[in-house]
Formats: sequence, C-alpha cells, structure tokens
Amino acid sequence: MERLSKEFLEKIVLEGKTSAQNIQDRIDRELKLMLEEIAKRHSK
Amino acid sequence: MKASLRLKNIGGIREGEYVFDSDKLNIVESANSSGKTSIVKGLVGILSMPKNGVFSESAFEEALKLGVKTDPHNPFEGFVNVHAEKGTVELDFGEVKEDYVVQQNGDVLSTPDQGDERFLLAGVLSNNSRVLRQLRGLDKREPDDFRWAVEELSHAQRYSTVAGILKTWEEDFSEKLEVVRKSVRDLRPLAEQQSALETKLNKLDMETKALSAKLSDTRFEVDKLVKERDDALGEVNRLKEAIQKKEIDRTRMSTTELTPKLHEMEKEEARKKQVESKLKQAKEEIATLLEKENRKSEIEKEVNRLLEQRNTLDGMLNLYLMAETNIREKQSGKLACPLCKTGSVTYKEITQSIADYRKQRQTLNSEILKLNQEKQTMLIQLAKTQELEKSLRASLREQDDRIYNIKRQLAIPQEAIRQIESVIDDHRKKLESNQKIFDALNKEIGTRTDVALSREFDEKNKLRSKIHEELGRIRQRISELSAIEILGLVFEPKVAEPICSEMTGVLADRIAYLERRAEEEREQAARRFNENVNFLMSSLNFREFRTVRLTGSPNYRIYVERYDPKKKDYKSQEVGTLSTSEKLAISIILQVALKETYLKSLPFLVIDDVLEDFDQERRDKVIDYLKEKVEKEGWFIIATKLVKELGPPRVEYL
Repeated sequence: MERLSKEFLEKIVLEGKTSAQNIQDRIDRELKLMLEEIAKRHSK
Repeated sequence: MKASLRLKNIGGIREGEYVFDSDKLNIVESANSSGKTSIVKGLVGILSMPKNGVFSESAFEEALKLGVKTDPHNPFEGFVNVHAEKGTVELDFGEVKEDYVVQQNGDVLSTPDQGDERFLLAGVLSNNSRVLRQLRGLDKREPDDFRWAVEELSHAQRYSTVAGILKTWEEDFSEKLEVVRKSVRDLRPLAEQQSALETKLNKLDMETKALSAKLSDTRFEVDKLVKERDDALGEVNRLKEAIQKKEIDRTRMSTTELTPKLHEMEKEEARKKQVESKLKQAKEEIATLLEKENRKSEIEKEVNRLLEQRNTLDGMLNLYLMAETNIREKQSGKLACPLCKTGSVTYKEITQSIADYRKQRQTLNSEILKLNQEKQTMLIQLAKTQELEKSLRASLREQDDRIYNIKRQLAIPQEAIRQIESVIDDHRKKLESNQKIFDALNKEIGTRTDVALSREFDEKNKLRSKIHEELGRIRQRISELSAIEILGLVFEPKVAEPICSEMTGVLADRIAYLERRAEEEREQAARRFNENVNFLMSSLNFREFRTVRLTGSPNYRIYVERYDPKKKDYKSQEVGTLSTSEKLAISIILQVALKETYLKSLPFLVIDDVLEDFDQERRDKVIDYLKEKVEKEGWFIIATKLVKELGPPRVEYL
C-alpha cells in the first residue's frame, strides 16, 4: 500500500469535521510509517 | 414536511416550541424584544455547531457577530439566557432528531450530528451576517472581495491546510538532506586521512620494532630491560586504543540518546515557563478583579436607589394614567391635579406629563440595565479568569510530570555515559602508570645503549604517539558524522541521503497535487456560484443589472454590470458603490447563491429582519421567488417580521 497516497490526503480533506490537530497527528503518523518503509528498502 | 424547533433558556426565551413548514414560507412575527432574534439564534446555533463542539477561528468570529456565541463584553445579549445555567435547542425534521446543549459559560454539553459551521456564512442573511456587513462596508474585507466564498466555503481551505502541514515537513527533510550531504562531503577526506595515518602508523611500528631489535642485538645485557620496555609500550598502545573506542562509544551515546532528550527537556522547561507566566498574569488579573469588590457593592446600592426612584415614578405615572382615563370618560376639559389634588390640569397637560414620566422611566431603566450589565460583566470575567487559573495550574502539574519523566529517561544514558567515563578514567590511570614505566625503562636503556639509536627510537616513538592522537581525533569525528537521526531513527549518511531525497520528492509531489486541487476547488466553486447567480437573476427579474459575477483566480471579486444611459451601453461597477437598496437586492441574490452552491444538503435558510427593508415592489418579488424556491426545493425558509402587537412570537405560513 502506498504511503501518504492521494487517496489518503483526499480522505483527510473530505472528512470535514476533524480538527487541525487531528489532521496534523494523522499526517505525522503516516510520514513515520512512510519513513520506516523507505528506510527498510534502502537499508537492504 | 414539518420541522419542530424547541428552545429552553435561549436568549430571551425561557421555553417555546415553533413549527416550520417546508411547503410554505415561514414568517416569525413579534414585536420588538419579544423573542424573534432568540428563535433565529437557536436555529442558527444548532445548524452551525460542528460535531466536535469547536468552531474554527474564522467561524467563531461570525458566531459572535450572529449571537450564536456569547460576547463576554455583552453577556445580556448572549446565546444562553442570563438567568439560566444552560440552554437547550432541539430540532426535528423528517428522520433527523438533533439536540444542542450549552452552558452559560460557553461549555458545550451536547452537539448536533449534522451541524455545519459554513451555515453561518451560507445559510443566514441578517444585518449582522457577513454578506450584508461586507456590502455595506462594515466588515474588515473590501465590499467586493469575495475570495472567502470560494476559500472558506469550498474544500479549498482544507486542501491548503493539509498542503501547509506537508510544506513544513518538506522543509524539515530538505534541511536534513543538506546536513546529510555535508556529512558525506566531510567524511570523504576524513576517511582518506584516516587511511593515510594508519599506513604511516604501521610503517612506524615496523621501524620501531626493527630499531628495538637492533638495540637488543647490540646490547645483549639490556635484553630484559628492552623486553619490559616493549611490553610497557605495547600496554600503552593498547590502552590508547581502548580509550579511543570508549570515547567513540560515549559520543555515540550522547548524540543518539542524551542530546535529543536534553533538547526535549529544554522545550518542556520553556513551555513550563510560558504556563507559569500566564498563571502569574491570571493571578494578577484575579487580584485586580477582587479589588473591584467595592465597586460591586456601590453598583448594588446605586441599583437599589434607582429602583426606589422608579417605584416612586411608577406611582405618579399610575395616578396620571388613571387621570387620563377619567378625563376621557367624563369628556371634561379639566380635572383636579392627581398629585396635589388642589390645582387643575387639562387633558393635554396630563398626556404631556405621562410622556415625560415614561421618558424618565426609560432613562432610569437604561441606567439600571447598564449597571447590572457592568456587575454581570465583572462576575463573568472573574469566573472565567478563575477557570483559566485552574486550567493553568493543571497544565503546570502536567508539565512538571513531563519534566519528571524526561529526567527519569535521561538517567539511563547519563548512567551509561558515567560508566564509560569511569572506564576511560581507569584506562587513563593505567596508561599514565605504563607511560612512566616505559619512560623510566627507556631512560635506563638509553644510558646503556647506543645514543644515536636510542634518540632515533625516541623520535620515532614520539611521532607515533602524535599520529596516534591525530588518528583518534579523526576516528571520533567520523563517528559523529556517521550517525544521522531522522524521526527518532539513526542512519548512516549513505543510507540517510536517498531516504531524505525520496521523502522530499514524495512530499513535493503531494504538495503540488494539493495546491492544484485547492485551485480547482476554487475555480469550480466560482463557476457553480456564477451559474446559480445567473439563474437567480433571471428568476427575480432585477432589471437594474445585466450581470452579477464573481471573477476568477486569483482575486475572486464581485462586480455588477448595469446600463449606462449616457453611453447607451452596459458598464462594470464595484458593488461598494451601489445604493443602499441595490446592495440589499444584491445581498439576497448572493446569499441564496451561496446556500445553493455550498449547503444544498442542509435544507434551511434564515432571513432575519432584512425583508422589512425592501420596498414593497421588490419585497413582493423576493417573497414570490422564495415561495417558488420552497415549492421546488422543499427548503425550510424562515424569515422574521416586526409587528406592533405584543405577545410571544408566532409563526405565520405564506
């Protein structure tokens, strides 16, 4: 599954009723997962 | 379809139920100060309050203007009745059952499921709503600047918010990438220097060994001394290596474990200072407010004095009102003075006195209200500041807990570093002792062996020591540059570089996508808005203007096109320069278009007071149009109307 995908970003935008802090937290989590996946690939 | 709105302690209404019809135009009628505005507030409140109970910053401003949130400077006009602890709004329509409960201090106890803060901008037209404020030049925005209509009401702003978060991350990763690239650049010459020094050191080792052998051959009797000296030298070298390794361990531990925690600690302590400073301010404010206690008693005394004065006035007024009835019933020209009973007064004098007394009474009432408001504001300010102080104290305790936890976490790397340093100290002591043994043996051997060979041996040995120290420094620097920390994970620069590069690339791609989507949203919103405006123009048949249009990116301004009889052609005109009645006409077009464009799914439109301001012909046109809208869309359109008859508000259906 692609991390920080356009579908993921669209979902965050269109959900509408979440707070700015909630958006920030979800993006931070997604970025950490993306970093771990990229790191795994480059560390091989 | 019917919609039922039940209010309890909202604005001036203690309890009331109002039924609206989606097949008719609903007109809420009442005299001044009888509850019309409270019905509007309750309805707008429940339709705009988001599920999480918190308005965004810009929506909060609108909520204050529309009285949906209580303005601390004017609590008597607040959302919840000043005499109640909490207010309740319930709204049922179709399958939907909503409720909204809010306390006097603004804390939300229950929120509706379908509330949408955009309703504040798109669903209400009143003298305080943004469209009319702006057109009349009473808003901070220019009258024709309608960028907010495509930014705040469409999803454009949310796309921009998400893009903004990603931009911050992109900047962080770009900076990190620069650091990594610099590390890679700096490491290359360091590795070359390390390799050259190691080669030199090996060569020197071989040379000193050869010299030692030579000295041993030529001075057989000092064989034992030479062996002991060589052992001491070997131990010195081994200890130097061991110290260097431990120093590298210490640096690594400090970079990856200790320093990030220390930074975290600094941040938390700075936050604690901020909270302490706010707490100090709150305490000072409470002290100032408590000092005003005397003013409260003064106000109470003054209010009591004014109430007594009003009672006396009421007595006199009643006497005059009775006199007025008597003189009318008897149809006589004069009557005994109702106050002194000795003189006589005419009907004109009586009515004049009644008018004077009423005026004096009104003045007294407004003074009493003003004083009560001042007292209430003081009490509310005190309660709010005390609440703030309480929450700041809780924050301070949380902050202390965080700092305590970080200190506990810090203890682990600090202990590890202490242990490493203790081993280093131990090695250094042993090194010093072995160095002394070596020097003493060397001196002893020097007295017995060939002076030239001994000197050469000493020089080479000093050089070896110097190279070894230099090598240690380089190894330590290499170790520092080789540990790159990203989001709590540690990587070598060669791995960190492609990681940062890929992260930056993905983020740039997503930012471009979000910015493109935001612009598409704005353009699409403007297009839909203009389509709706055109449709409304033809439905309402406003002859003054050919067009009302929202321009495209990047300005999004509203302008009208009207016929210029001098030039015999149409010309563009800024909306800020239109007449008062034309602005009113434009406001209804823009408001309905905003509702059509952005909030079609929420079937409510509220028009407070505004219809009264249209001239008869135009009002009839607007009402016909709204009735047509009701029939076609099934919206609940609720408008208010001022009437002279006293009594509670009632709903008329057109």
